[in-house]
Amino acid sequence: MPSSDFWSTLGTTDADVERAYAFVLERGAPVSSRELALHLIGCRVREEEERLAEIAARSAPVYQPKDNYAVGQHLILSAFDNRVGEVKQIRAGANPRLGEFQVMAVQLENESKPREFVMACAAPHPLNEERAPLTALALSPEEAIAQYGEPVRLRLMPRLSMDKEFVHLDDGWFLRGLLPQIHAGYLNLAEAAIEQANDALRTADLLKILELPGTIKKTAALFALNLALAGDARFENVGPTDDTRWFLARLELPEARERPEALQVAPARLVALSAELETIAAELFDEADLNGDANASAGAPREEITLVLTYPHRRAGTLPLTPLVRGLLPAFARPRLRFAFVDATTQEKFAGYAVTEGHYIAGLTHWFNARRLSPGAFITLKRGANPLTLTVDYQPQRERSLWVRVARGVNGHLTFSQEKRPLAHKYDEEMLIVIGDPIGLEVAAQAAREQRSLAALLEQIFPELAKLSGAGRVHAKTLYSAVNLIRRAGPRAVLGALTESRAFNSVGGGYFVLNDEARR
Amino acid sequence: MAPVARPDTNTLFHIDLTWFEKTGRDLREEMHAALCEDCRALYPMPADAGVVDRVHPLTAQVTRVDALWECLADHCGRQPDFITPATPLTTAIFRALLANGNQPMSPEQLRQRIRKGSAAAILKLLLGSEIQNGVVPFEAQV
Repeated sequence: MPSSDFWSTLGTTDADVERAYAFVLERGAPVSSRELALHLIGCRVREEEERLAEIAARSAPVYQPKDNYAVGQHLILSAFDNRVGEVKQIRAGANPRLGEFQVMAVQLENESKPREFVMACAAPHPLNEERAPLTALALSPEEAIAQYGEPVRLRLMPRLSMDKEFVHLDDGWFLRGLLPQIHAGYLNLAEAAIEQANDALRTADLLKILELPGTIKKTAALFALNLALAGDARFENVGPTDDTRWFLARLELPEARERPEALQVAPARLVALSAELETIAAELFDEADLNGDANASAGAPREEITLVLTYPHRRAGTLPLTPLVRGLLPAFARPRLRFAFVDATTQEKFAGYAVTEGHYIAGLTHWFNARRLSPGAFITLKRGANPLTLTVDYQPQRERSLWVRVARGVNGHLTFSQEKRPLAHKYDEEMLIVIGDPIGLEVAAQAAREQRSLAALLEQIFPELAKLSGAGRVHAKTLYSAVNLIRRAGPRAVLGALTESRAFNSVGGGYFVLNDEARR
Repeated sequence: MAPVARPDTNTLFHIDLTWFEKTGRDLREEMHAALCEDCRALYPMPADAGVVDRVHPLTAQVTRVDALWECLADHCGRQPDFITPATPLTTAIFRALLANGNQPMSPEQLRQRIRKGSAAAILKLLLGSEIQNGVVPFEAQV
């Protein structure tokens, strides 16, 4: 079998590119890098089998130092990757310690000068051990694929990328010369079709509309159209993994194209939290805690998840795309996934986007406004019957006036008061904050941006909230909800700042008080 | 001029064959003295040992080498009494290099071969004020 050196270069040589070229040419359709790698390994295994069969046909023995050989005889040298050599010359050996023996000059294939080997030597040598004849491969094709398939694939891809003959889209590889031409007229038709449908269309559906010449192989046409659409900025693939769906960039929601200002968050420094605060942070499902790590483990997949609406998401018409929320949607690896929200009560459908950069789902502005939801409202997301749908629900209740926290910005400072306000939805008691003055809050938010630390901001906000409570206690979740009125921060960042600040003391149950020194 | 690295327990050492010429000592005499009884019977005097065919222990490829080196590397150096706990450290280091065909070895490799002392102690000995048996740091030929 070829040496490990051979396997470490397979996929990088010109001969490998030639083989890959011939394979795609024969198929006449795009192939995956894995198929190409398996083909190369298969070719190599077949070649090796043929070589061994040829050796077997020549009846070439495996070289052993104890045996006698004749000039002109062929040998297999197992210590030299089973290469074949021909005996060219024989002379007497000279070494009194080893007794009588002979030395033969053997010309190995692909070498310019012969090497000398001992023969007819009675001295012990490991090569004298009995070996099975080399008629079968040491590694089956399946074993070779299992052992070397992925490394060969990973080496082959950059090599093919450098070759002008090959084009690829994602993991589909095809030959430039076989690509059906997709001219500008076809792309204009595709644009019109998507606009008319006002929904993302699969490539196959577009192909039916475009009516390419029937002589073109369908797989080749699909690949060529995908390649052309991917190269045109008007179109974007907004489908799940392995389900390409094209939509028009100009029809996408602005908040899905660019992360809303309200969701911009600075990376948080991770602080070890107490078990109690850790539980609170975990329950809040905020994408700002991901710190850009979308691969965080989601745990066991769920059918539904209930979130508490925060002010930044309320303003942006978005919700966090945490790993648990992502688990409710099909897997996707592109910047955006287009899906449909389904209102649980009315069954009304409207477009939604899961956005990779910033980890959020967009498309809820109208839905939030229509239900007059305040920060603190419970929102439930549920896996839809169709994989590309997400059922969205809230917890309505008969509208009545309730004493609630109301936030305002006064002279650039965040203030709170207890006021009677009508509410028609259920909410998290600790997080509910009704917005009294959005413009004043924006001014306070601008002032808060100049505030250097989160701890200093908390120290400023805390007395305002504490005055609403008889005991001067404020819950960690209330502080998190309040801070987010003027500065985007994840629960772990807020709770970490609370823990580290010397101004606050924990009094259990998630509540904090200002210590005496800070009160003065 | 390139900076000279400070030798450590991974620095390679070998026998400098020219050191013997310079100091008037006969390396072949010393090698002959290290032979086992069987090999000394084959070559009673250093001059009796000419060039022989050496068989590679793994590939069986043949090369032409000095008989004394061949004996030490392929036979005597593999005998259990070639280096014993009683062998002085400087002799043991010299013999370990002879048995290795004078392929350079580090103090750590030497310690594993002679099974005495520590790599640091061997290094200290080899870097002492006096060169022992021509063993010096190996400088690869560029």
